[in-house]
Order: sequence, then C-alpha cells, then structure tokens
Amino acid sequence: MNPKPEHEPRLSSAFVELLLLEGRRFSTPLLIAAAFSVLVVAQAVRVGTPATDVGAVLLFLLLALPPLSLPLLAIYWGFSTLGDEWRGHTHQLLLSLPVRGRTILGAKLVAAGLGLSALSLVGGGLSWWRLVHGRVLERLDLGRERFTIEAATSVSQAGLVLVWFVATLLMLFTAALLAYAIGRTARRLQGWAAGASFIGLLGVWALVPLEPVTRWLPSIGCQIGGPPGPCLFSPAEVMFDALLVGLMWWVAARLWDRGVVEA
Amino acid sequence: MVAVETRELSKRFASRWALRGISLSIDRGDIVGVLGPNGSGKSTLLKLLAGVQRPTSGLISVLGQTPGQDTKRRSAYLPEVDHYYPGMTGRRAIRFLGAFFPGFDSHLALRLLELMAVSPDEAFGSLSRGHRARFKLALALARQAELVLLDEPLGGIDVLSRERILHAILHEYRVGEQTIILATHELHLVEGLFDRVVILKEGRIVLAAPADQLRSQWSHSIEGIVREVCA
Repeated sequence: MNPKPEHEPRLSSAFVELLLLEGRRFSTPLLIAAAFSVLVVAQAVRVGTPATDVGAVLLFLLLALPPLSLPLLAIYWGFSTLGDEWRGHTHQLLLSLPVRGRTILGAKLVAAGLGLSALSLVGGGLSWWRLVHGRVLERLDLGRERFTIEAATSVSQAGLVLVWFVATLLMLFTAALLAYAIGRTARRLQGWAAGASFIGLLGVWALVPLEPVTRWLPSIGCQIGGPPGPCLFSPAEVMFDALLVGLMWWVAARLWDRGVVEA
Repeated sequence: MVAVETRELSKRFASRWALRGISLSIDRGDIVGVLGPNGSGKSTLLKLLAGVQRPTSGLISVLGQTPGQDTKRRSAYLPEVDHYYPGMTGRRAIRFLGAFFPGFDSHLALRLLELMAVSPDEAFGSLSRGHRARFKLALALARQAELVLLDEPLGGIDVLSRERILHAILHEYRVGEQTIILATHELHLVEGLFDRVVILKEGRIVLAAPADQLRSQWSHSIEGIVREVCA
C-alpha cells in the first residue's frame, strides 16, 4: 500500500477539529437546554408531592416538557448548523478546506448525536425517572397493560427508549440540515424542501408496520432483563430512523461536494 | 509555467450571469490584479479559482488541476467577508488550519500576527475591522501556498492597517514561486505591485495585459485605464 503523501491532512485530526468547533458553537444552547430540563423536573418534583398534588395530567405534561422540547431543538440545530454558517459567512472557511462534504457534515452529525444524547439522558432521563418512580403513568389511568413498567424492566425499557429517541432526534436534525442544503440550491424551494422533508419523514415513519421484514434483527432492548412484555419501541423503528439519517446525510454531503450549496 | 488557465468560463446565479466566457492565462510567479466595478464578477472569479464555487460552464485549471481538494491544499483563499468564527482566537485558528494544511507554518502565522499588531489571544469577533483584515491576511500568508487569492484585502480599512497589510504581502511574497491574484478597488495603493491586470465589466473581460504594457499604450495609470474602460 502506498503511504499517503506528506501534504495530505490527517483526516482524524481534521475531523476532531471540526467536531470541537461544533461543540464550542453549540455548547451554550445545550447548557441552557439542560438547565431548563433540570429546572422543569425539579419543579415537577416540588409540585408533585401528595400535599400539593396538582393532578396527574398536569404533572405528566410538566414532566413531558423536557423530552418534548428536544425535537424542536433538533430541528433548530439542523437548520442553524448550516444556516448560521451562511449568515456569519463562515461557510467560506469550511468550503475552502481540503476535505469532502462528508467529513464536514459528518462532524456536524456526530456533534449533534453526542449533544442530543447528553440532553436526552439529562432531560429525558430525569423525566423518565420521575414518571416511573413517581407512578405518574399509573395515576393517568391510560391503560395499565401498556404503561405499567416494572422496576426490573424499567432500565432496559429506558435504554431502548433512549436509543429510539436519539435516533428520532437525529432524523429530525438531518432532515432540517438537508432541507437547508436543498434550499441553498434554489431559495424559492427552501420552504417547500423543509415541508417535504418533514412530511416525508412522517410518511416513512408511518411505515413502521414493516417490522415483520426486520424481525430477524436482534432486539435492542425488549429482551434485556425482565419477562418479555409489550415493546413500546421496536428495533425496526430504530433501524428505519438510522437508515433515513444516513440517506439524508449522504445526499446533503453530495450537495456540498457538488458545490450546489454555494450556488 | 502557467498557474491558472480558464477557457470560456461562465457562472450563472439563477437568471443572472456573474461571469461570461472568461478565457485567461496567468503565469506562475506573477502578481495579477483583477479589477473592475462592483458586480463585475471579480469575487466570483476568485471563488471559482479557489474551488468554493463551481462554474456553470467552461474549464478551469489551477496549478495544473481542476479545482478540488488538491488545489485547495496548494492555494490560499482570502474572501472579502469575515469568514472566521467570532469566538476563534488567532491561536485557535492556527491550530484549526494546521489540522487541514500540514504545510501550515504556525510560527510564521504567529510572527505575522505580531507584525500586524494583532493579539493571538483575542477573539476574531472582538477585533476592529482593520485588525480582522490583518488577522485574515496573516493566516492566509502563513499557508505559504503556491497560489494566493486575495479578495479585497484592503477594503474599508484604515491607512495604518493598509500599510501593514501591503508590507506583509510584499514581505512574504516569494518571487517566482508564488502567484498572487488580488481583486481590489484600492488601485492607487497597489497598482505598482501588478505584473499583469485583468479588467472585468459585467462579467466579461474587457482588458487583460501586462501592467507595464497597458501603462505605455494608454499613457495612464492603471486606475485611469480602469476608469476609462469601465465608464
């Protein structure tokens, strides 16, 4: 095998620099979102005591707020990860670097994955812990069979939900990123591209009943610990999410390489 | 030896043609001025040569190759806009660029920042306009690239910054090895540097010739020629 020419950059160090750059750019919004989650859950704990019981529905809504705000954050992050570059003209620095679009957008995707996982762990984890251990779901009386979660299986269920949730957030992030990249090609199409991406996502996501096709895949969380019960989130959904993320990221990277994003 | 060659190069944005049928050849080691009024296509031409945009039609050869990753490695592009992140200090930018351009000379970059009186620990966004221009140029010149593309490096900045920038360009220019293509409106300051000038108007070349030849033919300064040709 021929050694790489000396003048060629080491991809790993370039990727790490891009990753650090993304981390620094989005550290403040991430810290704010994490603090918001902690405050909301703390408030839910405070008002959820028997003495000041505000009702299971209100408590559920309060606890659902941190995880439900994360999809909005993922969409915002997806748009602004490229949009901010254009507004600040820093895209010209990225475009002048001797690396392919997949390296630049890959660093953005990995940074988003790490950031959204951390937020899901903090915000979603705290909410989940409170929902399960505060027996809020049971008090909602939405059907015990579906929502009763035994303590023994709650950790594995939570793990599965986390994987599914992060995959879904990344799907939204990548859809927003792709919509922005398409919009750069033809500005008039930007709104349409964004709309089509999200409607397309919803459409594909509705195809989850294709689960029988993917039944041969190992189950990510349902079989870990405890007796097998109804799975809230199947491996098929996670796999579809991951496939969509990969596809949309690849298309966005191709658009970047072909220079259409700067057209 | 030719550093840059274009043939019938055109670039269209939606319904507007930014460049039309540009054919030119630039020798290695030359300092070339790309001149013309606003909207004449100077910045677009530099972007195409830098590989940050793709042409609609026509051919480009930069250092013997089609613009791409390899030519980006061998050329330094300084856009007119502030393209560094506001929170990036000089030291961080040096580290960042060093990861992509192994030939990047971090010692030279620090020396150039010092020469231009820019603190390497101050964030790009907190610098004045003149200091930002110096910051950008110091990092572009520290690349010691074979081809340096400078888009309005003197635009809208104070006299002191201009002097420092011109000094740095002349000081770091490697005669015969490095090709510099400079798009500017500040002709009175730099026209003495040019070996060759290319004058654009409405996306087309209206004049391209060695600077000395133009001066003797027109009996004008380059600035006067541009004014006359583009009127």
